[in-house]
Amino acid sequence: MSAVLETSALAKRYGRRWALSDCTLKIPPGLVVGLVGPNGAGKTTLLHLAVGLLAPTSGAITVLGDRPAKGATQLGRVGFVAQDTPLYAGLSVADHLHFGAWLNLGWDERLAQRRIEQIGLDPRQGVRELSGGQRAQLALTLAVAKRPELLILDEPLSSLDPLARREFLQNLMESVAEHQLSVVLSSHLVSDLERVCDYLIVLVSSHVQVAGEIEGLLASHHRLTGPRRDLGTLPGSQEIIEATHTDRQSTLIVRTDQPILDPSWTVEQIGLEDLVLAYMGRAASIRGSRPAFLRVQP
Amino acid sequence: MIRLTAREFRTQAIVALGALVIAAIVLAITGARLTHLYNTTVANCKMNGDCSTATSLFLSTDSGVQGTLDFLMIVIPGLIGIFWGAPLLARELETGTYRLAWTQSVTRARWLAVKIGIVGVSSLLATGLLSLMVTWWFGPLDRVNMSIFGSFDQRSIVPIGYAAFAFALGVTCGALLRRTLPAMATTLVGFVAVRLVIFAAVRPNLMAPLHRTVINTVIAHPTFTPDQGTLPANAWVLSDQTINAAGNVIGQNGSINGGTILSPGATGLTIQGVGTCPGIAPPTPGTGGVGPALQTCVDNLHIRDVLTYQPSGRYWPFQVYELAIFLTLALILVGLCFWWVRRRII
Repeated sequence: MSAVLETSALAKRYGRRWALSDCTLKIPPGLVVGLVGPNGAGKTTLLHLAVGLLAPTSGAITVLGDRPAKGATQLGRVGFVAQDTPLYAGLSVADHLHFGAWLNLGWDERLAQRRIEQIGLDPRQGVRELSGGQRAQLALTLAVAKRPELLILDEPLSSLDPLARREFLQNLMESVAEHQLSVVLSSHLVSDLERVCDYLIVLVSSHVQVAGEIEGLLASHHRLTGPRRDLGTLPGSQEIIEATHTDRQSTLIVRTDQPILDPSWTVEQIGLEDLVLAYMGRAASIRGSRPAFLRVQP
Repeated sequence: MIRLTAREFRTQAIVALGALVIAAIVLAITGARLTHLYNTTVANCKMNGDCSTATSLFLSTDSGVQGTLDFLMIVIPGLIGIFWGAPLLARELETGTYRLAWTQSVTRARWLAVKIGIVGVSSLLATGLLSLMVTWWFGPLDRVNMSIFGSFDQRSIVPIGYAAFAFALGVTCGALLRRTLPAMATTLVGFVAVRLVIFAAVRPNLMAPLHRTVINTVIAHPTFTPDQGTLPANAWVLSDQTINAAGNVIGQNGSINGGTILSPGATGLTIQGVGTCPGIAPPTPGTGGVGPALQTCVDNLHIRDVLTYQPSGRYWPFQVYELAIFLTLALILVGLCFWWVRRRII
C-alpha cells in the first residue's frame, strides 16, 4: 500500500513569506498522525496542500498515491474537517447531511444518521444554535460519512472544552477503528495528541523539525544529566536537541539510536511533551526569534 | 451538486418568481387597458381631427407605471449583479465554507459551473421575461412616442446582456475580493461605468451614422425660431448643426449662436452670422405665421441644418450588437472566474 502522505521538498509561499519550506515526509498508512506546532507554524498550509485547497509553490505532494484534489474520486478518498469547522449558517443539521449526500457518491446515509443520533443532534436544528462541540461533531460526521480512506482534521479540538475534547476524540477513535481510517490531525497542544496518535510531526517556523512513530521517537530521545562539560566531546551519533547548563551541571536532550555508554551521565526517559518542547525551543533559537537578551551570559 | 445549488438558491428564486408573477398581473391588466385606449383614441384621431390632444393624453396614461417600469428595467440587471452575483463566491470565501464545499467529491470546476449555470441562467431568464412583458406593455406608447432609441436600454433584448454582464461581474468581484460587501460595491461601480462607456462612446458608433441636410425655415413669431426641419421618424439624432450658406457652423439643435437673432423693427431682420433681410417688416404680433416676403428672404440666406443620426431601421441590429458586446464581456469574466477559482485562489 502506498504512503498516505508523501512530500518531497514541498514549499508554499504567500507573497514573500514562506509558510512551509523544504518539507519532506513519508507517512505509512493505517496510522493516526499528529501534526503539532505553535500557531502560525504552517500546519494549516500543509493540511490545505494535502486536501488540494492549496497548490504548492515548489516541491511535490501525493496523498494516497495521487495528486490532491485531482478529481472527484481523489476528493472522495480524503475527508477533511477544516479549522473552526465551517458550516453553512443558514442551513440545518439535516440540510448538511443532504449537502454531504448530494456531493459525495460514496455517502453512507445510515452511518451519518447513526452518528447524528449518537451525538444527540436534532436534525431540524439550525447550525447557528449548535455548541462548539456539536459543530465539531457534525463536521466530523460529514467527513466520516463520505467514507474516506484518509481523514484530515485541522485543529479540531481548539475550540472545545475538556469534556467535548474527550468525547470528540473518543468518537474519532471509534470511527478510525470501525473503518480502518488513516488520520492526520493537527494541534498546537501535544497533550491533545498524546493519547490518540501513533505518529508525530513537529512543525515549527514553516520547517519540519522531527517526524516519526511516537514509540520510536520516545525510544531514541533521552535526557542526560551530569557534571558540566563541553558539548564537543559527545559522540557523533548523539544529536543534541536541547542543552541547558548551570555552573556545575549540564542537562541535555539528545537523539541517538546507539546506547549511551558514558557512565558520567544519568539517563532518563523523556515524555512526548518535553520532546516536542525541546524541538520547538531549538527551532526558535536557530531562527533567532528568541529575544537576544536571553542569550547574554551574566 | 445541482440539488445543492437549487436548495441554496431556492429562496431567491421564489422571491424573483413572485415578483415576476405580480408584474405580469399588473402589466396584463393595465396593458390591456392601454391597448384599448390606443385603439379608441389615437388610432382614429385623424378622423376626429384633434391628434395632438389625443396623443398627449395617451402618452400620460399610467405615467406612474411607465416611470416605475423604465426605472426597474434600468436597475434590475445591476441588482442581479449585486445580490445574486457578488455573494455567490464571496460569501463562501468570507465565511470559510469553501473549505467544506471544495473538499467534497465534486471538483471545483464542476462546483463553479453548476453554481454559475443555475444562478446565471435564472438571472437571464428573469430579466428576459420582464423585458418581454415591459416591451409588450409599452408597445402602443412607443408607437405614439416615436422615440425608440430613447428607450433602447429598457426594451427588447439588451437587458438580458446587461443582466449577464452584471452577474458575471458580481461573481468575479466576489472571487477576487473575497468579501461580500466590497464585492457588491465594486460590482455596482463597475457595472455603471461600463454601461456608461458603452452608451456614450460605443453605441453611437456601432455603425457609421448617416447625415442629412435640411432647409431651415422660419416658423414662429414674435421670436425667430429656426425649425430643425423634418427629422427622420424614430431616428436617433446624434447631432444637429445649423450652418450658413458658406457651410460654417452657426448653431446647434435648431438655435443660432449669439443669442436672440431677431432684431425686429420697421427696418427689418438681422440674423447674426448669416445676413439681413432689410426693409421687410415682420408680421404683426398675434396674427401667427410669417409674411411671405420675410420667408422668401430667410430662405435665400440658405440656413440649413445638418443632422447626424442613426435611422430607425438600425434599432434591431443595434440591439443585437449591444447584446453581443455584453454577452462577450460576461463570457470573458466567467472564464476569468474559472481560471481564478481553479488555479489562483489561495
